[in-house]
Amino acid sequence: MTHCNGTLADRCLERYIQGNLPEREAREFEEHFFDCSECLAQVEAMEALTAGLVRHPVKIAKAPIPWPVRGGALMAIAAMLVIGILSYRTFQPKPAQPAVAVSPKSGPVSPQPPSSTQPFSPSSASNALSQLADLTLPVFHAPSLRGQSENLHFENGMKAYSAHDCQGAEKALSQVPAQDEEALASQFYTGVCQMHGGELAAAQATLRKVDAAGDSPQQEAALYYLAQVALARQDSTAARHYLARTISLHGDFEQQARLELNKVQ
Amino acid sequence: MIGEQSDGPGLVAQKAAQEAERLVAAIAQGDRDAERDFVLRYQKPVKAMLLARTRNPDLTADLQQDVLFEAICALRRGQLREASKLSAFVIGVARNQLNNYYRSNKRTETLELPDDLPDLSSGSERVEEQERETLAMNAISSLDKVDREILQLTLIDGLKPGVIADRLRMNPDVVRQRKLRATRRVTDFVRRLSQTEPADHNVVGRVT
Repeated sequence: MTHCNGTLADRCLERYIQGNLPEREAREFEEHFFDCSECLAQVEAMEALTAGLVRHPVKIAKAPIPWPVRGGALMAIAAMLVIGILSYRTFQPKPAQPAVAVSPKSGPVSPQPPSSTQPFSPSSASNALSQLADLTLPVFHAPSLRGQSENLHFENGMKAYSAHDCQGAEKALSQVPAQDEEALASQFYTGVCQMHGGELAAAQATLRKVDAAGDSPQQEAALYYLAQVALARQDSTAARHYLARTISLHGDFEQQARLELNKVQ
Repeated sequence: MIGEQSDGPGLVAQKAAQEAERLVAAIAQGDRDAERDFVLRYQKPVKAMLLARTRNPDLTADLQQDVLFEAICALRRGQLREASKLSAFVIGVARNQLNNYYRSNKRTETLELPDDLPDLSSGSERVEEQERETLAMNAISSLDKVDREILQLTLIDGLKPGVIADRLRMNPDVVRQRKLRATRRVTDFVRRLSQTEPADHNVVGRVT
């Protein structure tokens, strides 16, 4: 029932749940969320997350051995193997020389076949770039549990999207209000629809807005598809930039982005 | 409530104050429906507050009942002078209950409860809570393994990003970024799917 912009929850929520928020700020936050259903829902969600982790703790894997240590150990093993082999060969009784002399090697070494790789002309490099671009629509997983999206336009848009009706999806998603919870997701799926339809400039502009909104569930995917748009536009600099940023987020697209970055480079 | 989305902050606050005044006046006059409305209005925030403060679901359930009963008894006696400060009053009652509990390490028995208090034993709240937890677990399991580890080390073990980074041999900034992203993913997922009614406030410039 307050006019909330969410900044208080952003600032306080995690520390409040962990009991690390100073008492004065904790009281201020409590007075706020008692009258703000949105922030109360955030508190409840965070409490559910904590309760879930308490009941089903995540096993922490042992950290990988750092390279200097691992490298040292590998070097030691390799050195021991070399010493072992050398010692074995030194002390092994030499076989008697065969009675017949071994003929010299027969014939010269055949020359390498000519390389089948074509020289890289600028145009073929560009074509190769655009062939790398993945312009297929990412799959949208509709929530299967209780409570579909509250926004009918978003829901209709995503139904159309799931049926590969990009025009219908764009039309419905364009009606999602800017302040709606699904606004950013709407922008993202609009962007990929535009990309899929070949409107690369429009897709780039839309996906950039998603990226500019900062940390969000769609940011990593937006960066990845911005890289795809750049590839399709044969802009290797932009593609490398967006792929590197995708990788830096270490999310679901990291591996794919790495593969593509290697190819682009 | 959806209509309030377009109301200004002043009007929203005014409506909230009017509703609080109505509840206070009606409970003082013995209106049982108003008591039920009061319970529906405050049981969730009281529970959220007590759970954050105690981290003990069973104790929270007991104290939540005590808080709501004590608040209703006080409102019946007309003890709240400024009706518009109903939320602050309920928070005060909750803090008193908590302080009493921590001082004596047991629930207070001093309150003489009348027989005709509203029934707070509705199972729907518990079902909702379990549903939220299931949603949270589903969302957690959909995360990357490292993200799950970071959440565990942050929220349960209470470690700082620098320590987690050291343990997982990662850059602290990456840990911070991944923690923020994973937390938001899970809470947004739980919040979006567990909200049964639309939020009754204006959201200004917030991007989720």
